[in-house]
Amino acid sequence: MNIQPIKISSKVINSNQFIHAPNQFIQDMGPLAFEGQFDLTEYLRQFIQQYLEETNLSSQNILNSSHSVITGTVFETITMSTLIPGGTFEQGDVIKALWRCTKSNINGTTSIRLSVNSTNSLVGTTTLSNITLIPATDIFIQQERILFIRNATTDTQTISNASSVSSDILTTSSGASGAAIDWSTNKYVILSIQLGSALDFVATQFLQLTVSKP
Amino acid sequence: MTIIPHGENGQPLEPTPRLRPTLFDGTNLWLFDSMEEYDAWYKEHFPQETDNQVSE
Repeated sequence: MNIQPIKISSKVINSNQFIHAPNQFIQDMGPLAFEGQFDLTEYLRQFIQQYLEETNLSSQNILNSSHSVITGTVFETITMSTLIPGGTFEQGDVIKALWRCTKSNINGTTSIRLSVNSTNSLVGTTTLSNITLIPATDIFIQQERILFIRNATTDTQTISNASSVSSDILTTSSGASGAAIDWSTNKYVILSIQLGSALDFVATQFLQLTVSKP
Repeated sequence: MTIIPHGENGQPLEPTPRLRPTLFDGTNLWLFDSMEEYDAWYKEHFPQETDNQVSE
């Protein structure tokens, strides 16, 4: 019997990728070569064990970098979103949300909102940050928020969602804010944009979530 | 570019292909056919961006 366990080549692969892009996940693993006979049950057991070891990392990246441009409307529009399978984020996790947009034309201000919802829509969202009135002349916009999950179903903490700072790595008189988000069920992390002028273009380059686990 | 179905907030109703950019123009959600098409469109509509910096 010759068991050849699969070595997952990259630690970047995460459960989100495995669940939502299984074909790509399998392609990334590369061709499987077996020699002689092998025990399929044992093989799968080893594969699953190794997969769990590889994915149970202290840090994982979830990245959406598909590029998305919004123009022609002054209504709030979803520019990028990422499905977080239930149970991915747990108590004690620290999640850094980082995003970057570029802007063309300087006719109006821009507002950018980071929110969480059970569906990929803006109806009934929980707002994590709402950065409003970015000056019309600002054409490079990179922002971040750091979330701390004090409780996986009731308390996700960050700076007050009324704060318009680009980064919450700071000392401030604004208080922390707790959002009642149940991460045990599927959630969409949504980045949405509201243009002050329909003549402007705002392109979102990426939305990255970096999860650090205790 | 191809028009694809979108929700009321401009979001695609089905997952878009990996690394294929989209453009919401207030009416339609467009899916670019390739990164090359997107790059050409981007350079035309974002002319203020600088080229890569080079050391002297």
